[in-house]
Amino acid sequence: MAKILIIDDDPDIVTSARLSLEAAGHAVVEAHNGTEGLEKIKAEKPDLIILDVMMDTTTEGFQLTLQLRSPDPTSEYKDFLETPILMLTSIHSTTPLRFGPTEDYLPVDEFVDKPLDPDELVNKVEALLS
Amino acid sequence: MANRKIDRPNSLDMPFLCEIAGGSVQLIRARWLVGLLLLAATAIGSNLKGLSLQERPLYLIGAGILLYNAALSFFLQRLNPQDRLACEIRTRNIVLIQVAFDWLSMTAFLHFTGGIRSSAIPLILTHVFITALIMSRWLTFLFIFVDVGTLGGIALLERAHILPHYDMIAAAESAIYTDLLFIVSRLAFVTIIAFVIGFVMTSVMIRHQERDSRTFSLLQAAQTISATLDIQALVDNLTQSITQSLKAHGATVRLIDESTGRLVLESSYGLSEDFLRKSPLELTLRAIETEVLTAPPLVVNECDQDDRIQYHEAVREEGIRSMVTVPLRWLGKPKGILSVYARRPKYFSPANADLVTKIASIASTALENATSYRILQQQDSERARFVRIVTHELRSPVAGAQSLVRTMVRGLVGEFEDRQFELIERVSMRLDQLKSLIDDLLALASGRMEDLTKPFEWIALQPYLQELVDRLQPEAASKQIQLKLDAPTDLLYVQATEEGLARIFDNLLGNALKYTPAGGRVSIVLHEEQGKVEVRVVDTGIGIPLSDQPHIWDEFYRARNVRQAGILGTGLGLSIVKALVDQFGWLITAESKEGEGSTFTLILPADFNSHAPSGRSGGAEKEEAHKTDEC
Repeated sequence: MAKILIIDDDPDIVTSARLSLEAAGHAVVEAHNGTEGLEKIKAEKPDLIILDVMMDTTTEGFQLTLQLRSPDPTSEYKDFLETPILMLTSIHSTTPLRFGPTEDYLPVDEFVDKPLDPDELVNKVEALLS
Repeated sequence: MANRKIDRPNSLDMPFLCEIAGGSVQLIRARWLVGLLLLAATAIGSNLKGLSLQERPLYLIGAGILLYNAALSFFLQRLNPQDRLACEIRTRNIVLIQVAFDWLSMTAFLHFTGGIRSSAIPLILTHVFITALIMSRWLTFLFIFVDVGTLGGIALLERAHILPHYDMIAAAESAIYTDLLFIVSRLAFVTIIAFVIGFVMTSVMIRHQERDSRTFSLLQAAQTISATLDIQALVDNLTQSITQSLKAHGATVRLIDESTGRLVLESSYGLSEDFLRKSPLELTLRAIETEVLTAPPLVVNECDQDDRIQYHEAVREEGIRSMVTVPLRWLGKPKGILSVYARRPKYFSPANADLVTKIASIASTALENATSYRILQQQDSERARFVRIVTHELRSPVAGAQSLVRTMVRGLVGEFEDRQFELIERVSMRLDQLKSLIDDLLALASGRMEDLTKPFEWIALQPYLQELVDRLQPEAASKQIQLKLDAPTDLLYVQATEEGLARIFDNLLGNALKYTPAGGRVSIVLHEEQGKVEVRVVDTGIGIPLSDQPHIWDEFYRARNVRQAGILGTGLGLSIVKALVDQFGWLITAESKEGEGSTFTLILPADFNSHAPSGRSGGAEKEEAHKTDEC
């Protein structure tokens, strides 16, 4: 059982993720934008973060990730440098391509495509936690 | 003035040289006749009473003409018009040899038929006539001097009894050939007639030649101008080609900026930076231009004395003495002006000004097309942008709804009765369909949006296709389809974007797998031929009915057999492929037989190895080093 923070401005995605993860026995905390997400990270200390790429601005998700992964030793998020991040993306149904930066560039651990598939989400979360 | 010197190797003169060669062929035919006529006339004349012909010399002259004519004919036949340089040199030699031999035989003929009293003197005029047809004016005048001089020479030598005098008509035998006045008067008349013929004939020829050269320039300019739909390239081609075809100093194109109403310099050719700087790039409509925009063409014969010229100093420093300006009009409105400058006064004759007007009119049509094309492209791009925004907005609610429905299908919010479950599954299926439709629309719109396209890069085909085949192998196996890649080992590079390439092959291979029943085969065959790569995606699927084949690239079009079989799809896949293939400048064709399978063939320009990343950076380094040297 792990504590998972989901940061997404789409309540339907949040609900779907919450239902899937809670059914698998995890505790879920939610935030609806980047700023709230950063506050919840410090307050809740989640074991894993699920993050939407695009929220209020198209790059909000990326910026949050870069803040969390900052190598600066004085960073207020230095405790979360190792916390796994699962990024939610919209990808083309028939290609493996992503709209936006690639894995090489973005310091996240795994991607999950929208719409969410409950089994896929749970499998990826558990793989990251183990 | 157009020039018809034969020793100038210029593309314009080349057809003319070969024309001379053609003319020589006609001369040779005529000379056969002359030789035979001479022999026959001598034979007949020798039997006529009253004529005292120098039979033996005349027969010899006739035979001589036939002999050298045979030799000339032999050499002309060996002339290869493909080999331009050799053609030029040999044509010139043959022309000179003809002239020399003709002169020799004419001299001999005149002498043996009576010298200054010869009835054959008008033959000189025939010679002048032919010379004027194929030589320049000055060469023609030179030949007149030589011909008349020869006749004069014969007359004087006979008068001094150095050469014997032969009278052709026995009854008219007299010593008048020794009378100086007689000699001078005969020579004077022959000279006057010869010069008049020479002058008139060469004038006609010069005019003809000028018209020829103008037509040629017009054709060439039309060809250059209409070769592009890019407005900048078009005006650049225009200034360059008009300067070159008129052998002028330079040319400019100024177009009216619709927002400011000013004439803005769009292109110039042949003019110094200094001149362009001194005459401002942006001008409000001056008197001269307003005049030009309404009443074309405007010719300034003496720039120094014309107060319509605004930048006298700049014009003087550039050495411009005369100019012509014509309007560029399209869509029924004046849109700009074309100016051509020359360093000689009165350079733009009515004929030249007319040529400028004609070229400007061709350019106007081309500019109208280019403008319309640009508007169309902008509209297409804007429509694509709209579709892209709309589809992006559609994705989120669909993704949200589908995510929720999937939790229901998965039973995470409690169990449903069978009927309820069935309906929820149907909702889920429809949402999947909707999502793929949105994705395809987005892909299609992206493919058509210029500003979204990244710069093309060289991509190795084989590793990319191998990865794709590996990725699709599980799907193929589950459908019991044999999927393979058949490609040469030498890497083939093509210019594309990775995204575009992925969309093209994902769609083509995705279709092949989708429409091929179990037990079938799908293969990608790659081969290179003469710098082109052919990629074939071959399947043994259900095929495309013949009546549907012309429409397969249309948006939302789905073939009859696919609809009847209830196979899901949006009908956008091949439209996406086509849009991208067009964007990359490739070709795609489809062949299919219903029930047997389909083959999609892509033809793309390629390179063997030469564009591997290391090779490219090497080149860049070299260039960098070169720059450093210069510093």
